[in-house]
Amino acid sequence: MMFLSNSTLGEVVWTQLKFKMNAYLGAVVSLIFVQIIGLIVSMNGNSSTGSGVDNTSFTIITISSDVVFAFVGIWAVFVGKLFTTKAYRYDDFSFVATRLSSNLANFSVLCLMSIFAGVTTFLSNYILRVVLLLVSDVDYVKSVSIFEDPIGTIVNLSIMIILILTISAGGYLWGMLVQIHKAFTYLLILLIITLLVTKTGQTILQYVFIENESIVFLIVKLIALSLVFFLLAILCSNRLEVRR
Amino acid sequence: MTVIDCQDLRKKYKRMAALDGITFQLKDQKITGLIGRNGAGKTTLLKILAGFIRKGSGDVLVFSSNPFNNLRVSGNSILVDDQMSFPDSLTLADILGMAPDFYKRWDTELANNLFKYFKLNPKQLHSRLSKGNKATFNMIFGLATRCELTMFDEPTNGMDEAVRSDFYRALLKDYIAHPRSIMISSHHLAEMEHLLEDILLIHKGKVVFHQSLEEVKEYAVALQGTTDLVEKLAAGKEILHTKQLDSQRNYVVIKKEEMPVIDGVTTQPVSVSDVCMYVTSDGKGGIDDVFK
Repeated sequence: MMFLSNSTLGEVVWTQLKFKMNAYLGAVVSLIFVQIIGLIVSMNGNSSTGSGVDNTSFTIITISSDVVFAFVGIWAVFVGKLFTTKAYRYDDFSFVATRLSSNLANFSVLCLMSIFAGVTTFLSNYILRVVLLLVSDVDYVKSVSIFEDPIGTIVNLSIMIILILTISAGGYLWGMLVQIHKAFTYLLILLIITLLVTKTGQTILQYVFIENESIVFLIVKLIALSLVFFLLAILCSNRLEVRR
Repeated sequence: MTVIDCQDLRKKYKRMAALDGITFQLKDQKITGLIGRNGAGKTTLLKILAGFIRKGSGDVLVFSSNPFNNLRVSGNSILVDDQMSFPDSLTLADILGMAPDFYKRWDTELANNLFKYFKLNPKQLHSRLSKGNKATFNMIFGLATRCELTMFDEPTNGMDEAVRSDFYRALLKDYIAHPRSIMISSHHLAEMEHLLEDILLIHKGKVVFHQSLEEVKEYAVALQGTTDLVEKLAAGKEILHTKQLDSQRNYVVIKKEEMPVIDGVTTQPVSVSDVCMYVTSDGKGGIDDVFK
């Protein structure tokens, strides 16, 4: 008598997610490393203005975690791409998996990692302030804190998280396309240049990032964009063979 | 219930046809040997059955569904080969610890006992294992999943003699305790013959025969004796293999049929692995002909 065990898609995705959270710890380690580099670069400040009154002189240094965010953005692209490499895809198929369940699990992992990356990048600003006080001869640090503007902080944080997710989703789609054909490695670079240089490209970028009536609108657009990236990646990978 | 049902299954790589119309069925819980020469299509067939690669044309059903992208097939089948890979961030112990979440019938006790018996290091990484130890670990993993369809592709590659015979023993014992459909492809047919109930012989992407071991043993007969007598006896028969023993004597393997007994010609049984070898050889001659 044959006994077949039946697992639902949800169960398998959940199991894969648990497995991946264990297995992909290296990606988190690399995130922390990237953030530290970003912080070191940020220490010099983005801009400074100096002035003096009588024999007192002062310098105002503007510090932001933009550099850290830029570094995390690059990290997000490559983590998304990393998950599509042969080694990562093959690992899934040593256990129970279908291409759909793998994609959904990867999507979930990227979501969780984006949240982690967003929160830590946001908090890196605070590290910057503390370290600055301790290390350099800065006398006074003024900044908006969570308590002064809770809603604004939450909105900023959400945008940061969702932007990281969108970028990693883009990287994921890019990786899947490269798995189908190597030529996509260069096509993406070409696409980015086209977006920045041509008029249509600029209109598209403007539409997504700038022409937003409210910040909520931007968030919705970014979430929609991430979902489109993931759906396209699922469609691309649905025919990919493993261990061939 | 039918475990595997292949109808005219084909698969092409670039221009070369790896599978060229495979038709067979696997019904009961048996240990089947998938036998064939290098490049016969064994690995391709197993990978299609495991859902790793897509079929070309024809039909393939595993547990009544197409294995490609099927969760039920993935959950109830496993293909153990030397390309199995696991994340480098997990130790062997981690991998064994995670497997029960995926495979509902995972046998933790069996996995741990075999792991200890073969003296594998639980803190080792899968990619750092030697070839033989990797094969051993993969085998343990495959057995412990208790999948209804367990497939091994050249499982003994890299294993030493002692581990190989232990593996055959472990496989047999576990199969008797928990019957399931097991398919093994191997080049070492002679040493694992005692395990097999059925033989599926494929050659150049086609099924040559799918028979029980007993039938394969009776498939051919060898005639040995003086050349003229043997040739007379074999005339008009399906000759599978001939070998000149010395200037006077000849050795001919023919498909078995009723035969008159003649003085000076002895009939001998042909081993299963020899049958498989002769049936799948292209010419009638052997390697000796190359050096003539």
